[in-house]
Amino acid sequence: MNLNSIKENKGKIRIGIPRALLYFYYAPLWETFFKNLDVEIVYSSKTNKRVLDLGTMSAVTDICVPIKIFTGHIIDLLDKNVDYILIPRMLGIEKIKFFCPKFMALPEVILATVPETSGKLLIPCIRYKKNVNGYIDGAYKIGEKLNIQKKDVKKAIKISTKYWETHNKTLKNGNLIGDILLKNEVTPDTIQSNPFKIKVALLGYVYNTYDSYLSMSSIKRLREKGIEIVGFENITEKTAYKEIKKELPKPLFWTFSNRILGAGLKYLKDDQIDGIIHITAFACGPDSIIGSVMELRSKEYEKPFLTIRIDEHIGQAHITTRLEAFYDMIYRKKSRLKNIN
Amino acid sequence: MKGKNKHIIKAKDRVCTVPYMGSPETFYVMFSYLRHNFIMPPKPTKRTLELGVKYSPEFICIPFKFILGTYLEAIELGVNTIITAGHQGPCRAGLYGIMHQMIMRDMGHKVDVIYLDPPSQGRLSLMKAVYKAYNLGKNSPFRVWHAGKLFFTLYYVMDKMEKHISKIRAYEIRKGKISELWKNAKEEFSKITTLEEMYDIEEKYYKLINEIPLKKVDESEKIRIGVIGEIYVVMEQASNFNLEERLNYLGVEVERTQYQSEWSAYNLKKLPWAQNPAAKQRIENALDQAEEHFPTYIGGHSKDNIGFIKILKNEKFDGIVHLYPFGCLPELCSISLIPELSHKYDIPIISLAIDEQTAEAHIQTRLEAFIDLIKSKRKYREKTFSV
Repeated sequence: MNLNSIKENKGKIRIGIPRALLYFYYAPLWETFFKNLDVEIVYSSKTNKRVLDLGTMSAVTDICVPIKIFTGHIIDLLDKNVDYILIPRMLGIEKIKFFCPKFMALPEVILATVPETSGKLLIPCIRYKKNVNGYIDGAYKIGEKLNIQKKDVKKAIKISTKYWETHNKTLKNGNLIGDILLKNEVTPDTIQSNPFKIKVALLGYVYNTYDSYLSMSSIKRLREKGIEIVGFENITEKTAYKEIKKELPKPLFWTFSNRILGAGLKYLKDDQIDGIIHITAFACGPDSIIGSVMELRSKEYEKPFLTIRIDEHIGQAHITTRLEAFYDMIYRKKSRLKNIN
Repeated sequence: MKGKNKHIIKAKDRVCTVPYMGSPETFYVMFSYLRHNFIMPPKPTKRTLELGVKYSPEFICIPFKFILGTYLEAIELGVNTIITAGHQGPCRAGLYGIMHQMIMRDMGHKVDVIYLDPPSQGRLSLMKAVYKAYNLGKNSPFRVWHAGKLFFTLYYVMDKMEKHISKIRAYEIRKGKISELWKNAKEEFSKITTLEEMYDIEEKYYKLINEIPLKKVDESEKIRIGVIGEIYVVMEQASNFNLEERLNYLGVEVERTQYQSEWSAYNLKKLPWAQNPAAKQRIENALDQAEEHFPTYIGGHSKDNIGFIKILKNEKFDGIVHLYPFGCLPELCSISLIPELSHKYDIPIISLAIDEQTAEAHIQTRLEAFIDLIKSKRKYREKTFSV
């Protein structure tokens, strides 16, 4: 860390936040926290071909595209002259549950594949602790590293935690994360009029669904056709685990995978939901389990279930055609039922 | 276990097997002794993999596919109960049991999968699983004790023999004889019911093996390769194209870092017959060495694999083969670190991904190139430093 950069920025430390992976879920929390610490937040560019290519060249060939994109965002941040880059070590936020192993070892993976980040990483350890919000420890450690007074850190934690709770309440009322975080990317300019009321569940990790480059604005496209979209975030944790308990003797090991699988199982049984779309990355480990359970169970409930697999070669045409075909199928089904009645 | 996932086979009707990994003869001995109706799982072949691939999720790791294929072939032989280990995550292996049962039942098979999870996943369910798996209803505690003793001692003896074979087979003059002896030894070991029988077989085969004529190679010319990686593809030779035999036939000694008896000694520290202090210490060293590069446990063996790189270098191994299933979550993290560590510790490491598309020729050519590289590196060193 060089003193010159501090002088240039009039004393404010520049913290880089990659606009990838769990940023889409935790942005309200992290943003509020850092804003109240009086540091300058620098975001990476939104995912584009350059970011994807940079990441693909540095990351291991076999690794999933969300990690490749994350790597690209890190390199992009280095170009933006930041003092630190935030990479939380997500170990767990629930009892005996984890995140995908790549999240748990993410700092090491980045240090190895982008060695220029050495000394620049802010790595709060997010670990489940009974009765204590796991991120608070990490928040204090960040304050320590940045030489910020403990009382200021405490204040920032209080304000950001409160904001986070309000944010989550909004989601329970039926909004998508994208509606709060990325209004332009998910709100259509025009909405077709539709003779039928169609409601579709779009399930996927936040970094696939809300990364506009990866999902190619799937939400916007579906909404343009007059379709109502619900996501995993509209099903509470409690409900999700209750659904999983009915199907599996034990839940999966990964927090967000359980959220998605539980939501999927709930939506399968919901008559109001006309179809389920699962957006997943090529070779995603946890999703191979989710996809398998959903496929086995969707047969029972006769609900249209579409899997869209994304990787670095994905093209707009591919996603658009599959969404259109899915929509056509649901539309025809509804027409047939209407004619029968 | 409730609802759809309840066990449906009555105890008296159980016909059991285990996944085929390494030396299932030990399980055959133990479970037969425990009065189970136990059938040896068939050794995986191309057909096994094809079956497994057909009914597995596309992107699940290859051990899942091999094991599912083994189960389906075992079902053809009359098996209706699978006994297997579980895990607490975060790698997917701990969900294999549930998923295998779901898929097989969806295919119409009436099967139970009894999986033994670590206590953190639920003590009550573990106790129930242990009761069923070890047939506690039909065996006295003494008999269960003796079964365990047979199992762990046999595994120790077989691993020791396999280590010896993977050394001297490099110098076999007429290729094939040592592998044949090992195959026969395994078959004879599977029939034991007492330790005396086991030691007799051990003695017999060491004699036979030591009679095989070997090339004389100078100590300074010997090349030793370590094998690290995900446990199934490292231990199960049918999944890695008989890697150890292949490397031996290229003239190099092989030793892997995953041996069932050594991991048992590490994990089950209190069991008297699983004691192997040297192996336990080596694994602990590996985990210590990994700390500076890889502080988090993320499942599988990724952490100790990283640590073993330094240990193998210190033990004067000449190169390392790193095996992993395509898409293996913990190993994807290790391979991100391996190029840097190979350079830092100055030891050649080759990473080979295994999946259903991997071709034999691919593995053979890469191994040949790797061994050539090591041999020429050595020659260069000798030339440079011999002046």
